[in-house]
Amino acid sequence: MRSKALAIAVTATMALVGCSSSSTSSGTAGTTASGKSNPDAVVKVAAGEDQWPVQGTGAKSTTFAYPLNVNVYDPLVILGSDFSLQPGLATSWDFMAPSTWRFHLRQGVTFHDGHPFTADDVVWTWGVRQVKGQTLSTVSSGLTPDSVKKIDDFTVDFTTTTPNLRLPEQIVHPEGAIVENGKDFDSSPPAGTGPFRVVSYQPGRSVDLVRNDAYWGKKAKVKEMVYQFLPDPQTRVEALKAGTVDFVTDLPPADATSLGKDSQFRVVKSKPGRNQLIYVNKQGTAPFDLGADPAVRQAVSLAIDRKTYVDAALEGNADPGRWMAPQAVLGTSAGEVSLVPFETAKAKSVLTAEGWTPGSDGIFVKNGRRLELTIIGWAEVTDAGFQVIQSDLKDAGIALTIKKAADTPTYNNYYAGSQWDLDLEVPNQNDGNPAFLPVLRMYSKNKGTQRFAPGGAFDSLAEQAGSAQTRPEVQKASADMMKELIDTDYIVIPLAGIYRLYGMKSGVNLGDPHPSQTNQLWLSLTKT
Amino acid sequence: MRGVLARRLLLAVPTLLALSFLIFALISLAPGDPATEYARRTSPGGEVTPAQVDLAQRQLGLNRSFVVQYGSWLGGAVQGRLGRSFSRQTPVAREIRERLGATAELAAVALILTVIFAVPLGVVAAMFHRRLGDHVLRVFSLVGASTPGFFLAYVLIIIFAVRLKVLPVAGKQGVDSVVLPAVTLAVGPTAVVARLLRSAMLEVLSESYIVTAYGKGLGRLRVVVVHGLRNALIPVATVFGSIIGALLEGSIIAEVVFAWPGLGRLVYEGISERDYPLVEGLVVFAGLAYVIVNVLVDLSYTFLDRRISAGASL
Repeated sequence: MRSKALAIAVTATMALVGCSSSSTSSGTAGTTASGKSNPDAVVKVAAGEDQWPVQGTGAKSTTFAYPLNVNVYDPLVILGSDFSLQPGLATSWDFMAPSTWRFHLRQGVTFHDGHPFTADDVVWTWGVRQVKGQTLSTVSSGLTPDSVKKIDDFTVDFTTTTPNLRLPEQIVHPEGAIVENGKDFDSSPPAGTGPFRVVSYQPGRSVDLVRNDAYWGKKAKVKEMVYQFLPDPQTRVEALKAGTVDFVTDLPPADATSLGKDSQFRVVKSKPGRNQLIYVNKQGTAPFDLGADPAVRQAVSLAIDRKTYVDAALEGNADPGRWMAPQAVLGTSAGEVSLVPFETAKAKSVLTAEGWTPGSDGIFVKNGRRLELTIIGWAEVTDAGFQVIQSDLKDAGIALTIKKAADTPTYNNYYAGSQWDLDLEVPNQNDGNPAFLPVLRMYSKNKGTQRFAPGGAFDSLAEQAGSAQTRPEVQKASADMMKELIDTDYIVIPLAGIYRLYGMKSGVNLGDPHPSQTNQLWLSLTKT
Repeated sequence: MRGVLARRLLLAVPTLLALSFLIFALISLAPGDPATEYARRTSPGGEVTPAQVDLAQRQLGLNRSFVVQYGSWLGGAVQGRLGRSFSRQTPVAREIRERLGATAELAAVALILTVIFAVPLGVVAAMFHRRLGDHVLRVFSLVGASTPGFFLAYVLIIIFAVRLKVLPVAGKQGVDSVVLPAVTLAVGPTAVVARLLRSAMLEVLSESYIVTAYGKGLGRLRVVVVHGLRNALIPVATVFGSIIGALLEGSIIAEVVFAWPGLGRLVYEGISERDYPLVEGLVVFAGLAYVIVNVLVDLSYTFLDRRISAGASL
């Protein structure tokens, strides 16, 4: 089976390369869990907002609240913490030309309510529920309501509208996790097949999970997980300090630093799973048209000190930005993308060479026009982050106006208004497709990419990635795409690769933090 | 009395109409397009096309003129239908009903705390005018009224949950979980009411009938409580109307910080999602609560002071 071989190859490659410099770490010196892991332990978790009530019920709802869902509902293919593809409810999969993927399903699996897992559940989930719900995976993967066919009880075919070699990498997203045939999220969560089952659920308040001792895979190391949804991050931290919870998700960077110094607690960090990226608007209209000038784009990229940015904006809980996606997903090809150096003098010389001259206040001027840019960004980008960029650009002779959005709709409004030159986003890599983000945002044939798309050779690379037969081929094409966007065209300026941060009592440990929070399985969670 | 009550309720109609219109207009002016948010929700992961936004606008009825949208909403509202939440796809009235209990519980406890602390504080301050008790109340009033709710909430959590470990940090589990959010909500009103009561008491205690009461040989406590407090409560009752209305509306800060599943948190979520019907429904509900509570407060004047007839007071 090609896919399995690829997964093994990628895993081996990762081991050889050593992946990221910021490997998974415990932030607290001398706080390794003492004592033996207790298999009957109950772990109380403080999580953020419960997404399910907000997403609504029925087909359009996501499969329960992240990051709980992948622990209750298994996908066909699981995304490993090294972004490799691992068998889930499908044990193997093969591509059959021209556009069909055949998945061989795991036998002997039962849902938490005792219902046996078969191809009918896959057809329901992917052929009815997912496609009608128009979720992320179906939209990007070319599936229609008729795409999924049952061949026999343990074999299904996925036939896409156009050949899609990336399908197994895309359907790892937990949105596509398998739900029992005919069941949906109408009044309570349906049964899954995952390592935990839901005992009780109070929307917006709490959910109680217990270990599924009949799980087909590796069993969880704790008996029960009780989630309390606490939307305010500071409240979550205080709950940990008070001892009312054992474990906190989405730890704010500032608290990671303080908790890391306290021997009663442990901070576990994943490798970078999401990136802070600046996209430069190439197609703006005056006065937001300076991004069309390659010299301006290059100067902006050279002028920003990523290290200072990471320290100031994220309290050091990130790697200086180099790629558009996590390094691990690019495999050995990651080395083809360079870290853009911090060189203020070179930034100035690039501008000078293109006819820009410093004005009386140090800001460059050309043909009577000052080099003034406007930046917008996702609501989670901190003031400190924007200020570092503003200060660095000022040093390089570029004035920057910050339009900070208070919330997501406000940001979306700014974005749609197109009155900006730079757009700071924080996208996640939640699937196994190395080309996911470059293609989504930069491929000229995709909707909404006109502000950035370089076209030409980049589009050829995108198509090459889409039709790549092997994992190294798609990784190579993806790295080449990023190289063009980051090192050649300066359309994308990576600022930081962000760690996932978890806070916990010193007797609790998470051995394998996943860079993608939506794919975080709690199988390695222990409590003494 | 019944006629007066009917008049007051009738007067509430234009108030609520004006309020609903104002909120409808203000939400429409807020940055962020609900149709875009709706389209993104059904097509996450990337940008949405103008066609998707157009479709969302049609589905949500946002392609109609402002007046038609408002008229349509109003038509439903008078029949008890507050529309469907854009983000949750559930009836707004159901969302309010489900959250009202938690907010009412929190409001009731906060109100009880306010009464328990504000009344004695105000009375004692008046009795010890310009002495230590009075000065302490002044300091408390100033601090209590000027402390931001979020700051007070975290201070209370750190002291009572993290340090002393006597109360839960957040959530709605068990009787004790209401204490910290209720105290957070009660401190401000307590400071205001105590200060107001002190002033009213000082005024009342200088009245001639109080001197007469003393002249009859009544004890100080009886004079202050029976003759003084009762008359001083009239201006305080007016303020209580506003306080109760605000508490029933739900406190956004307290409910978010303490993860209290009430109306305040729902308002926060509705604004974050640009969920027009949800926010509109919640604001109109809050307006209705204000009106009803204030009518009840007006009625209470007749019980507090028998010289005031229902017709005269209202």
